[in-house]
Amino acid sequence: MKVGDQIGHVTEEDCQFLAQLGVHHVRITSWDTTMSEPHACGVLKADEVKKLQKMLKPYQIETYMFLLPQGRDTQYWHARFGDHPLRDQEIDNVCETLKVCGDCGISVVEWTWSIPDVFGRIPGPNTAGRGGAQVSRFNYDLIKDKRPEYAVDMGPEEMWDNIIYFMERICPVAEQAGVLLAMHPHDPPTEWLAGEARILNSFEGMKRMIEEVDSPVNGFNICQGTIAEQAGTDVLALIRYFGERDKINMVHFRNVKGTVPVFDESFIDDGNVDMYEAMKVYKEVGYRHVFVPDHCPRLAGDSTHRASRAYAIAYIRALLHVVGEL
Amino acid sequence: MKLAVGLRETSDEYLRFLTQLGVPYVKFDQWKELMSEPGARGVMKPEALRKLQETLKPYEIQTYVFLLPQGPNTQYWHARFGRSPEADLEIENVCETLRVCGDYGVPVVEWTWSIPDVFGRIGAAPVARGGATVPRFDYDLIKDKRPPYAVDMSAEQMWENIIYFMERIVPVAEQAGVQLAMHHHDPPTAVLAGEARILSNFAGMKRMIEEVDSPVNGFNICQGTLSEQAGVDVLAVIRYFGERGKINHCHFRNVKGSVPVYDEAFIDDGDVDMYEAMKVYKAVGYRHCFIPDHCPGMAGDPQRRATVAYAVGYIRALLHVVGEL
Repeated sequence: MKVGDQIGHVTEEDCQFLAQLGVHHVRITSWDTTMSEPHACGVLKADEVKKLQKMLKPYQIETYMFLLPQGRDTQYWHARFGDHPLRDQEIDNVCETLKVCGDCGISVVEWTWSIPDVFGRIPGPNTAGRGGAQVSRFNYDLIKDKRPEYAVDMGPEEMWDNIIYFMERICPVAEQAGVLLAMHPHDPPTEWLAGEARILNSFEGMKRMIEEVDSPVNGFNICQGTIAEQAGTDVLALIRYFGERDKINMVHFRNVKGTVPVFDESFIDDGNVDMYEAMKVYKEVGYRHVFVPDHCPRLAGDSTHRASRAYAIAYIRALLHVVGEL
Repeated sequence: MKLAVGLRETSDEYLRFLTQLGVPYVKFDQWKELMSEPGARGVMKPEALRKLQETLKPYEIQTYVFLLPQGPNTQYWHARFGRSPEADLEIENVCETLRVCGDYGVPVVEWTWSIPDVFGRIGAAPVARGGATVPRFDYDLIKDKRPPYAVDMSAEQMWENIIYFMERIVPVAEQAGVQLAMHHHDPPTAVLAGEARILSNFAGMKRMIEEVDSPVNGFNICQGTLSEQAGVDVLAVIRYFGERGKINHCHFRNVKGSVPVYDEAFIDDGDVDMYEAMKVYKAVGYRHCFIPDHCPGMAGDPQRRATVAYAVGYIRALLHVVGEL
C-alpha cells in the first residue's frame, strides 16, 4: 500500500516537494502534451510519457496511474453516447493508449463513464468547511432540473449496453498490455443526473459492473468520498467486498460530510468516515496499490495548495505507518 | 491529549489556517507585546494577555502554554549566573508572571535554564527527506566555540542555581494553579560553551524532579532533544516521567542521529517511531499538548504553512488512532 498524489505539469520544485512529502507514486494526465491530438483526443504518446518519467526519475517518483481523458469531446467522449460513428475509432484509441501505458510501465489506468460527469457542485457556504475552509457543496434540489447543453436522456439499460460494449473491448487489451483498470464510480451518485441514469452510483451497480465483464483487470478507483456520498451505503462493507475480490486498483482517499441529496467536501479527518477504520479494511483485504488525496479543502493563505495536500498526505502516511505499511 | 502549535502570528489568515487545521490550543511567546519591559523583561502584562486571548477567541483557540522569555538579557537571564540582588528581582518577576498566567487560565508555563542555550546548530542544509532543509548539529565543529556571554559553570554550580530558582517559583506556580514545563538541555551534550549541561540525560532529569518535589514541577518533553541524547531509551524516559505525572508539555518532533552529530528531520522520518511514542503517552495518561517543532523547510513553502500542516496532519492521525481525537 502506498501513498501517492495526482499531478499535472510539474516543475522541479513540485517534484522536490513531492519527494519531501515522501510521495513516490503519482497519477498523471497532462493531456495537452501527452495526447496525440488536440483537446485530449487521440492516443497517449509514449515519448511524452517518457519525458515526464525522466523528469520524475531523480526524485524516485513513479508514474503509477494514468487518467484517461475525461470531459466533453475528449478521447472516448462519443463512445458514451452508444452507437455513434466515432465510437469504434475512439475505443481503438483507448486500446492503443492502454498498450502505451503497459509499455511505459504504468500500472493502473483510471477511467470514467458519464456525459454530465461531475456536474452540479457549487462553492459551499463558508461555514461548511472546518474553520471556514473553502469546500464545494452538492445540493441535488438546486440542480435537478438543470443540465449541461450536451446532456442527453439515457436510461439504465442503454447505459449498461454502452458501458459493457466499451469494457468488452478494453478489458482484453488491458490484460494483454499488463495494466489494471480503475473505473471511477458515478460522482455525484444520484439516481439521475441531467437525464442520465447513474448506474454506477451504488453497491449494486458496482457489483453488476464487475460481474458483467469478469476480468482480473476490471476494477475500480474506490473514490471513497463518492462512496460515502451514496445514501445508505456501508462504506467499509463495500471496500471489504471489492477488496476481497481484488477489484480495487486505486483509491481516492477522501472524505465528505453528508450524503445525496446534500453533501460537502471535507478535510480527510472531518467527514462521515473514520479513515483509520477504512485503512484497516484496505490492509485486511490486501490492497496493494496507491492512496491519493483528492478534493483537499483549501487552507487559508494556501495559494499553491501545498499546505492542503501536505496535511492530507501526512494523515495518510500516518495511517499507513500505523497499519504497518510504511 | 491535545493538539497545539506554536503561535507564529495573529493575522486573521493565520488564525483561520490554524482553525481549519483543527488546532484549538497554542503555545505563545509574544514577548514584545506581553512583557512590561523591553527586551523581554519585567512581568507579563495582564491586559496584554487578555487582549491576546480575545484575539484568539473567535477562532476558538486557547492560550495553553506560555514560554518564559529566553535569551541573553531577557527576563530571568541573570538568575542563571547565580545569586545576586538582580537575580532575586528577576525571579520575583517570574513569580508575578506565573500569577498572571494562573489568573488568566494559562495551564502551563515553559522555561529553560542555560546561558549558551540552544547554541551550535549549523545553518539549514538540504539533508532531510527529499532535500528539505533542516539545521544540523556537529559537536566537533563548535566544541571550542562559545557565544561572548558564556561563562564556565560546573555541574554543582548549575544545580545550585537551578534549585534556588525552582524553590522559589514552584510554590508560586502551585498557588497560581499552573504547571511548569522545563525544556531540558538542547543540544544535550555533557558540556557546551563552558556550561555543564546538567539536564542532558535521564539521570539529570530525574534528579531535577527529585530535588524539588512538587506536583507542578515537570518537563516539556522535547522528544527531539531526548532522541538526541546518546544512549537514551526515548520510550522508557517518556514512560518514566509520564507515569509520575511529570510531563506538562511535549515537542513532538524527531531527529536523525544523536550527540555528537544529528540532523533535524520530518516527524515521520527520524529515529523514533512516533506511533510507538504516542502509545506510551496514551498509556501513561498524558493530558496536555503535543506541538510540532523544527519542521523542515520545504520547497516552495516560504511561509512554512505546508511543513506545519504536514506535522499537524501526522499528529492528528496518531491522536485519532489512539482514541484521543
